[in-house]
Amino acid sequence: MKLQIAAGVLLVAILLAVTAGCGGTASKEPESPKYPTKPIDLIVAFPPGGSSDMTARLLAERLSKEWGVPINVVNKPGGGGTVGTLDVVQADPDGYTMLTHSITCTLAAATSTQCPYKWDQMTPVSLVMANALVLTISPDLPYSSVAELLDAIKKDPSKFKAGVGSAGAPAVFGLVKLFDAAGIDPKSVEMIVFQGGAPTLAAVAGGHVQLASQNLPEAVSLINAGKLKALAVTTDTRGKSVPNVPTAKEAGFPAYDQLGWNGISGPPGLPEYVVKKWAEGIEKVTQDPSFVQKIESMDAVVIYKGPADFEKFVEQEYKTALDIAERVGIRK
Amino acid sequence: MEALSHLWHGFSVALSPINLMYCAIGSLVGTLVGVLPGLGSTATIAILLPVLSGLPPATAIIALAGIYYGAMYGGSTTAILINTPGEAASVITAADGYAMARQGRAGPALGMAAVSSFVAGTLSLFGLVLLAPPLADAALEFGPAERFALMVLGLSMVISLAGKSLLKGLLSGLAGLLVGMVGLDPMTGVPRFTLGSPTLLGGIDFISVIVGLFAIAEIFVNVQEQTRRVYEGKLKGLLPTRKDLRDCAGAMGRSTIVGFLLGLLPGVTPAVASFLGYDMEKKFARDPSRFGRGAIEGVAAAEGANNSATSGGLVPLFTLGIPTTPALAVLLGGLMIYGLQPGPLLFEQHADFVWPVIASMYVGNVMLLILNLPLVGLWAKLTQVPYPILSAGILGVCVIGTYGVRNNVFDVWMMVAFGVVGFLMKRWDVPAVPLVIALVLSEPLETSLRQALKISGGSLMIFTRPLSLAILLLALASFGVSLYSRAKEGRLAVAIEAGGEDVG
Repeated sequence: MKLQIAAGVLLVAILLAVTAGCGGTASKEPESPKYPTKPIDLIVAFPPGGSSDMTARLLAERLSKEWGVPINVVNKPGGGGTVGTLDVVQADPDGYTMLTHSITCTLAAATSTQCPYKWDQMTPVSLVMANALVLTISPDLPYSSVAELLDAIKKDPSKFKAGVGSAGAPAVFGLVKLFDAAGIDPKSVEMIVFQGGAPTLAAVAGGHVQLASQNLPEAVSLINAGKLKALAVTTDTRGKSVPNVPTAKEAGFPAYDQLGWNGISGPPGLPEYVVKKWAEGIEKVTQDPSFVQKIESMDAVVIYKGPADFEKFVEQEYKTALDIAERVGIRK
Repeated sequence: MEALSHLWHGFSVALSPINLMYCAIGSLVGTLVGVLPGLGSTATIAILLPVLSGLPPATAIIALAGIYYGAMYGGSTTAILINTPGEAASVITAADGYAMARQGRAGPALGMAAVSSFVAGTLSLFGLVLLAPPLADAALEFGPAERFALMVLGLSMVISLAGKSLLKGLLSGLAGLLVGMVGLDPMTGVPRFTLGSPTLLGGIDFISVIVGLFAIAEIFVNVQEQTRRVYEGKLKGLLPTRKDLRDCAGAMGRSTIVGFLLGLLPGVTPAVASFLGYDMEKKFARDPSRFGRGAIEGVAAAEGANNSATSGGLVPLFTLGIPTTPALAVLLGGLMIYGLQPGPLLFEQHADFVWPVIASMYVGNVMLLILNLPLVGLWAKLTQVPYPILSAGILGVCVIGTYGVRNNVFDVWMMVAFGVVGFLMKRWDVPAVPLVIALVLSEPLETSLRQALKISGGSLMIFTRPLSLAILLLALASFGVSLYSRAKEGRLAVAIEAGGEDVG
């Protein structure tokens, strides 16, 4: 009898222990789902070849090796960057459709009342790189410093036309910031829109317009060939490929600080584990010397900002742009 | 001359086994890409750039340049065989090329396209080598006013290619301008004609229009007519005859020069060059009415111009770092990733890179000729494939290619819509080529006009700048000549109807 009771107790004890063991897994906190498990689409809202596209491809190459899944860079150009961005804004927030977030995607929301998405709809993940803008003038103009140029503009703004690569380009904002700092009414210098950086710079080199503030990578070869005079770059340090060009700070106009940049963002409502995975992955890539070298060969700099910092950064960029756009009348 | 000795050295590097291999691979990939409508050399180069970045710079650029050239060749193949231009530069080739295919002369058409492309590519490379720096500087003088004048000259082609009814031709041209305006205003970013659709914000994609108007419409027409084969009967000769080559010699020479000079200019694409080269040939021809109905000189001129414009585009790219077309912009990005800054310094500091690349472009041209000529027979046999099978294949290729442009199904629907429009146009005898020309020219026409006027503060005097004025006068002359020839043809037609045997 005692043996039976003992056996029974033992049996129950074993049963309880086993149940507890099984129940143990169920009662633990659910692990984040495994991500990524299938190919990811990284959308670039511009045609192939620009800085957004190049950044995306370099990043995709590294991350796909790291994570073991293919990352397809998909170009969805159109609408000055809005078509591709909208695509991501409307995509499922499962981490398999992400956006190469270029400054132009944010600027579009500030300059166009018809922008199909709101500036804060995307989930910011990280900033990856930024490039300087460079103030260039036609080689036959007699000015050799920013101050001289601005003085001449003040005397007769109608003689100066500025070329910009698109209606809402960072170039526009850079020029406005510069003119503001110098006390020149931005509306007094006519800004003529060309289709991209290359034609803009060609127009300056040919003397058809007098100045431009384009992305440094686009202007380097013309500057070094003597076809353009460069007066300042907007970064804090001089550009490696144009070491003789002073920074805006050195030239006395620190307000001329507009940069072009690219980062990564996702659809609204992106889960935390996706954001974390990307942010950590990107941080690692940005510390890889060969990645840095490739970015620097485009004359850009690697700047990493995590999700929280990037979110603040985007907000700041948007608010500044909105203010300028409304004031100068480019918000349509 | 120093340049020649550099070139010689360049050849020795270009002909190394590794570089030859990559040149061949690039050319082959490029041809395949060109055959598929929509997937252009631009996207291909961008996609392959990271893949090739492990190779030494010269080899990688050789491969990429091979793709660029190969795509030009491939695009004309489908234009001729199945009336499906792979890209804008092949549209005009389709006009006479496909007509020749329907006459059983697909082989000579393909062959002439290859030969003309080769001749143009070779001659223009010499232009690149010998004339690059001074030409590049001169190209910078070409500003918005001059570009506008050139676009007006291009539009004058609409009159010349309008077919029997000038009114219908002009309507077609106007329709093209309208289609070109859908999307964002290129200068202010304000949406136009977008009907609230976010996809239309990106405008109507050009590939959708040409694939729809040419390929899809052609399929609809053939289905209605129950065509059994593109060409029934035996294929008459697979290569251009000696007479063909002689007839086209002038066309090849002239179009090479015109194409090269136009290709230098920022904003002038090989497509625009092909239009102007073709039109010039038509005006020089003894019997212009043959153009559009299977004139082999038309194929020679169009292909010659677009190929030499491709080389011409390399001049500002290498010497000034200014890409004149999107594909070259990507190539430029590639150069920069290698730390090679384009500019006059490129020739001096990196001679060991530049000359092998230039030499290999010549090699690429030879390679493409060798690859394509024997294949002409094979390609030409496609015109004898039973149409139900062929058209299914064409449809498949068109859908995939058109989707691939922007990864957007909307473009495919647009293609179908334009297919229907094209079908109706054929039924009503409204020519499609003016629409396409106007569409291609609409954006540069508008932007250069507005830029020029903004620069001048609204004054039209800016167009009296010497170069701009010269081109505008040329355009006026072109209008005049076209109208005169139409009138002559018209009188001849009336006389034939009226007098019968009296005309002699």
